[in-house]
Amino acid sequence: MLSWQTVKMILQGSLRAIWASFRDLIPIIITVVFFQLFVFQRELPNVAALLLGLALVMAGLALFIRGLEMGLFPLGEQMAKDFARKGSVPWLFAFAFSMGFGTVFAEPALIAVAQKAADLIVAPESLGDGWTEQELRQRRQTFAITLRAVVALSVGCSLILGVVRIIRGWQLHYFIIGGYILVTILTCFAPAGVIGLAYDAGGVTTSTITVPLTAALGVGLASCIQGRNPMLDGFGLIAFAALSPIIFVLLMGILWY
Amino acid sequence: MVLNSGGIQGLERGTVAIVATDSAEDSLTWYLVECFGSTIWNVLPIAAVVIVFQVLVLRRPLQNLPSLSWGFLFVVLGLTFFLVGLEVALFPLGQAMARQLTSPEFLGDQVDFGGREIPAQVVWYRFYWTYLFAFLIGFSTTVAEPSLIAVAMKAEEVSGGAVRARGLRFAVALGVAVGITLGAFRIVMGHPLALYIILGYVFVMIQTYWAPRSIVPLAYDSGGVTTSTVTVPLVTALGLGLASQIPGRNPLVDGFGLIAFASLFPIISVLGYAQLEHWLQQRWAKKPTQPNTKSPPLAAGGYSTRVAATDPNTLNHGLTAISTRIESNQASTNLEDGPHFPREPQGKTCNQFGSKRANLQTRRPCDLN
Repeated sequence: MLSWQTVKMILQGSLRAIWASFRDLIPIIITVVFFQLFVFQRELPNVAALLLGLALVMAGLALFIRGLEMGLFPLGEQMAKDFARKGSVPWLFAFAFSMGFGTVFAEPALIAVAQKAADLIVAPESLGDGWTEQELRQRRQTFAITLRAVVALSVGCSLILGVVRIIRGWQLHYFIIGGYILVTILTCFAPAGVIGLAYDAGGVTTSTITVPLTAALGVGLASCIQGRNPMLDGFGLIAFAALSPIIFVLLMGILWY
Repeated sequence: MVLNSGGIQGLERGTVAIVATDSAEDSLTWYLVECFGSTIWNVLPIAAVVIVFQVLVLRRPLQNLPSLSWGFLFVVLGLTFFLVGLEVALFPLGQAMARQLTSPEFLGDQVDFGGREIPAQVVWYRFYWTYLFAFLIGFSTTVAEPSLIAVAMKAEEVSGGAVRARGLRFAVALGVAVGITLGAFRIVMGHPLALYIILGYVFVMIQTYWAPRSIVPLAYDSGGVTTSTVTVPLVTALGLGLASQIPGRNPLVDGFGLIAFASLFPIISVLGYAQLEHWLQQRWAKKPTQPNTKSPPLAAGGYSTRVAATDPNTLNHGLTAISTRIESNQASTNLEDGPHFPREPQGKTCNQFGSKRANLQTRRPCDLN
């Protein structure tokens, strides 16, 4: 049951949030209007649709932030706390892995990218003649599934590594700098067709729902473990999740060919 | 999210959005349904994993379950509205602009390389509208990026206000803006992408060495966050447009190249923001004669009195800081040294990994933000 007090609270918070999200959108509105009116010297097309879209964006951003505060942040912190209380490191690893693997494997953006990449890479031009349509489709399917599994695996593994780092208190920048050196080396060896895909995959994994939950989990964990600083150790999971798919996909590209 | 992918999908998405402008009202419902479906699909595995672990492993009921469920619903609905609104209002216009800015008709009076074959790198300065657009669109899309808002909120909460959410977001947005502008310049000049990226990371390494340690993880995280829902479609459209208009550029490589810039430069700008603040703070700390009525540094017991007075260099050298790590964890109260985190009152129960840490009841000595 929702009491009047809660409804009022939610309404007030929402109004404040809508105003805040409007402020966040001012730069983008100014940019688009400035270029349309002064650089291209044209009228704004379809003003009704534009205003409708802006209203939707504002309401959506406000709702999203409210949802973060009510849902995703408390959930991530509470689970981190519960795992720390349980004190079982293997279960924590299992949770981190399945969260990374599950969200990325089902990620709609990754499914679309994998399908597109399969069409581009598993093409008659690169395989040579003598393939029937059936076989080609099957190989594409295999490629897409493998790619999704590889990216999901990489994020799962990187979250485990990130959790180990939080527990042990290792410094983040060794991993990140080492990772980028590895990426640079692998880029030299990887086939050209996979490089763009690999960097794309890195962007796909940091989705808008995964990021808050991961951040809350890392910070919650770091604030529960003795001697860890949430600022110093809690952040960094997202950086891992964005970096590891590049390495894994480049490796996959090297092995695939 | 459907939208937050890079080059390959950005291309496809652009064409869809343009078609949609013709009948915005008709397609709106369809968009809402489509986006809602994909957002649900995005949330489903998270919910499944959480429920499975909560029921089978942790075996503890979630606190405030109704509030959590409302929060989840708000996130799903909010993202749906957000994405649909962007598709209806901003993406078609922004992507059309990115294409027009780089089209021969627009560049014709500025860059006449169609007829007289002037290479683009000779007249690079004539692309000023493109650079301005790149800067503004990089800045404004990053300010509205939901993932960045989430991380910035978390950072402000964790640092006890030492890192301001708005300040962090502006620093990241400025980094993306500069990065995209430089990336556009690179496409015009035809310089190798690897050169810029490697130089950028060398710069990041040097900065990491000097920057306040507690900002480093946050800075790296903000690099990963920027390549998301709002930024990628518009920036990719700009990169692809520019690369396909200038002869000798490869659309696939250069389109994603801009994204690489967008995730590298925020690291530099966030580290720089922290360094600037740290430098201002140190300058302030060196003038003890200056009165400060609010919070005298001696009473704070934070970094500036305990550590900076004895050895200001050791702690800030991120790469040599392992030896001082243990001390710093005990003295962690402000931005330089890791901010103070308000401990939970029931902290006693959640420390199975070790014993309870002393609760430091201190405020930041000074707040120049």
